[in-house]
Amino acid sequence: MSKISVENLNLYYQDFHALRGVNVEIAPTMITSMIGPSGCGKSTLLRTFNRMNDLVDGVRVDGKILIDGDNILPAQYDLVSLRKKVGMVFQRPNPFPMSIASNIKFGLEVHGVVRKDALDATVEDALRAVSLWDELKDRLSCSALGLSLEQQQRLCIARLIAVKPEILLMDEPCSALDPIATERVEELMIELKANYTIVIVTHNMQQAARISDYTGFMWLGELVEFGRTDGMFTNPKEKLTQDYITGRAG
Amino acid sequence: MEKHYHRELESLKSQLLGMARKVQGMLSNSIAALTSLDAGKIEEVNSSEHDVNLLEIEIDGQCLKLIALYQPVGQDLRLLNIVSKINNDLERVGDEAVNICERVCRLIKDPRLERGDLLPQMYDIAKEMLDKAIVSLEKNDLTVADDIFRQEDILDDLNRRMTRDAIEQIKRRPEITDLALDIISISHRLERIGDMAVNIAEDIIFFITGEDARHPHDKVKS
Repeated sequence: MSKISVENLNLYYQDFHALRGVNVEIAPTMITSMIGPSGCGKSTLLRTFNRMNDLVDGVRVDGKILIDGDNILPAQYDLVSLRKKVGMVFQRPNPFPMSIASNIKFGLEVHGVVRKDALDATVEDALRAVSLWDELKDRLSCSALGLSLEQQQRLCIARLIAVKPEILLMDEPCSALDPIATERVEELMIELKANYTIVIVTHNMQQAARISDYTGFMWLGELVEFGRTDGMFTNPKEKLTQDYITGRAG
Repeated sequence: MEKHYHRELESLKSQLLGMARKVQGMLSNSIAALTSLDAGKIEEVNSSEHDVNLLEIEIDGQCLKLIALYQPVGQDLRLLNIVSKINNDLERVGDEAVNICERVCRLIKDPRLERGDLLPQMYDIAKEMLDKAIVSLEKNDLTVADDIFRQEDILDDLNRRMTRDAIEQIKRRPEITDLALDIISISHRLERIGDMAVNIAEDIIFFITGEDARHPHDKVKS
């Protein structure tokens, strides 16, 4: 069964039709990449999975997004529980201006966890999950803003993991990182997919080809093609996909 | 606007077609050497081999460079994959033309053997198969692929007959065994050239459709 099922999804920013009849099935514990030129709707689609677009004035959505079978689009849907289940990593790392440990604890505290031993255990578990524990265990009280960009991005992923989400959304998570840091974050994603469903938006087609199991190509708000990544990059079915990935369109 | 990368891909394909024409010339000359017993043609084949070897190295280098610099995907990736394979097959066709000429050299000097009309027939078919494969590469045209596959069966059959006939001649006249073995060798090499034309046709199918046409009966069900 799919982790996320998108059924005939349309999204409008006032008069602008940003997503056009999108249908897609996102497989559990896999990495799915969305590629396409700037403005094609891939980030918009990603942000519908945890209703981040609700924050944009004049946005209107119709269709269905089922996560584990539940439609998340009705207005009364509990957004706090949705965003606990579906976490998001952004283009630039955005640690809170507080200590490394407090960054990890923050989400748990929002969700009512107060026991010190539980919070400390989670800090260690989350940092270990992103391979930061050994580097940072002796400076947990230092400001997170003093970390390298790669460490900050890993910390942001650890902050998500601390609240035990099931889906990780990543919007260009490596675009601010150098090639070595990018490689490490990609390795991390591959490790994390054993436990999480990951959806990533990327402009870097080689990154999509390297790390994802499935890839979707979007163009002008439509999902033109979706399928296994190896097929998409060796033998795409649609001419538009072929033209885009080979640099002849977009 | 056409990009530098796309121009480089086009130029690589043109280079491969240039090599193909050179190899076609080598095969034609080896045929002419046998049918007209003309030693001058053998010289031409031998001198072309050097050029073809250099082209093979140059084209392989270009493929590697384009892969390293541009990380191609989709049809561009398939093009580079088949250029590299066809490059190798064409060089081997050139080698076979040289090998045929070596045997023809001995046959020219010794008229004892009845060659019959099977060898010229095999030559015609092998050359036609190679010509069709190269036209198919040039025009991205799949329509001749079935013809090439059908002709491979005919060529295989002629090769078996040729070998059988040569063995009969050896039995009747053991003193011409060395010449009969040369005939068997030429026949076998023509059959190999047909196989390489088939490889090229399969590569072009892969380039155009993305489908792997090799070994249709041995595919693992996915």
